[in-house]
Amino acid sequence: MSVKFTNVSYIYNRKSPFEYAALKDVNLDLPEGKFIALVGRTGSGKSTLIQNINALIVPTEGKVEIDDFVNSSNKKERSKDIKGLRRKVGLVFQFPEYQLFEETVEKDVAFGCKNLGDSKEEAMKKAHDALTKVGLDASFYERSPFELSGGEKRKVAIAGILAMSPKILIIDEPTAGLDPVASFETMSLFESIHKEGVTVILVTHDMNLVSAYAEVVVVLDNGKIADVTTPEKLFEEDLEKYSLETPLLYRTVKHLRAKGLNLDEKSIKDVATLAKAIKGAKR
Amino acid sequence: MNSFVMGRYVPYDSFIHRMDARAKIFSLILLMVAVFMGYSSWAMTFTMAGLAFIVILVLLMASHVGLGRLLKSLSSLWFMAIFLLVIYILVPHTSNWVAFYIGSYAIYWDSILEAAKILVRLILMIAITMVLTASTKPLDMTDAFEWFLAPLKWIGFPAHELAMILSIALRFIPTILEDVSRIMKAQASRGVDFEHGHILAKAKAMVSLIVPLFVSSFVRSEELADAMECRGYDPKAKRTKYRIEKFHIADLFETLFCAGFLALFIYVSVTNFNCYEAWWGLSVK
Repeated sequence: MSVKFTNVSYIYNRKSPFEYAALKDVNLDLPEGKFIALVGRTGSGKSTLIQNINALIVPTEGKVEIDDFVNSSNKKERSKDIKGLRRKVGLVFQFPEYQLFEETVEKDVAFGCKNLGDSKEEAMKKAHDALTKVGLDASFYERSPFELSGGEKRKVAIAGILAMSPKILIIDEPTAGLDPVASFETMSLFESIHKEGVTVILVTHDMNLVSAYAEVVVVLDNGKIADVTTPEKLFEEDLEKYSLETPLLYRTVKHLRAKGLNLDEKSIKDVATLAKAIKGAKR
Repeated sequence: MNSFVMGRYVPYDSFIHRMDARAKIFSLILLMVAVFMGYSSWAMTFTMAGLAFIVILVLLMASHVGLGRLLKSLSSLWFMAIFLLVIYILVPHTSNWVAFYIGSYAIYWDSILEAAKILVRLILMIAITMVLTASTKPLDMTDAFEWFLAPLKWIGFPAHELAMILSIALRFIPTILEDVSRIMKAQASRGVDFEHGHILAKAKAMVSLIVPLFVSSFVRSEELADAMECRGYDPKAKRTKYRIEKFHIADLFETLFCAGFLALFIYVSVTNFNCYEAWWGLSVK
């Protein structure tokens, strides 16, 4: 499952005073099976980019290829099998809890599978599996999604996407508004899904998440791809120009080095490896 | 989704945009009355409608709405046209001016023309409303609305509250439309198809849109009520305004122009004036 953008532009409200170009001639190859972070300031075109991958919007210019599916500005070139694409590409929107509507949790989770043509039993089984993955047990199945807490609602909504077992999982700010424990659980869930071979595309402003989970970082700036790199390389640069913040871990390392501690940067991945590096560092 | 945007305010800088909202609403009401006048003959009816159309078209162009947007918003009117035609064909007529026969059933010109008349009036009405909504900020519109209702405050009518409700409703149309498109996209990525499929599937698709929409709207309204209360909103309090609408001389002239226009229409209607007979001596129906 590779995703390839070729000269993609997207313009909102064409030919009106509200006209606004969200993507400008984007060329991008997203590698298969990686944990990819998509970063950039508010309004840099991140949401527009991911909606193009799921064919929720059609590019104004250029084309996006998702495996054999083509989402092109040219109507003749465009693929017809949208449901097939939706099965392959799962998109978890920001605040997904607002999309719940069924009477029971299990029905809501099974909704996507049923839409894509699974039988009722099959959909229910997939729903139960997905609910187990996000950590909701059988006692939740028959409950109404509207009586759950905010964190539980979000888990149900995420399960609704996972039940379709996508090959590419796109998540937009999944930890916004969650408490630290819930955000850690959510991110661990996405990491374990990534380990099963799913390409994960994470849209976020939280550089700590990027440094902790991402393998590839795509930086968007003003509708253009500013950089495709690794977190390690990105955080060595000056991030102010993209309105990004250096993660706590990298800032700590920088300050320690400035104080004269000779740290082996390559070995530092998290707090534990940092502690180890400090212990072994030569003054 | 674009069909919803038909009546949206579009920020241009035309003389219609700059016009005082109160004067604009009043002038447009005058025009609407003019459109609904009755005349002595069919020929006059359509001639006057044509005259009104030219004036309204100029207003449309001046307010940057353009004929394209008008036509787009009229695209669903064909259903209305057929409906009207059927009704007027079934209604009995006094005239015996037969257009043609279907079998032995006579179709009168009067039915066709009557339906056409109503349709033309509807189109003109829609065009006038579009000029107003496209060129007036919703807030200015509610301010004007409150100003018109002000005399009713003397008899205890809640004019301010009503204007507030109206302005909140208008303010939240784009927000709710944004919600609609967000939820539609979220459900579409769960495989919902809002455009194709049989009626039952479509109904189910609508449920998946409407339920979340209601939930988020209720949450939003509660939050708004709390926020207003936190800032000490009191509907009874006397308040000042940030922008004070000024009535300019130009507004007066524009209103007078519309009034003159209406006067012309009233004159033609009341005197049963027929320009074809009076000027060219033609006898037309």
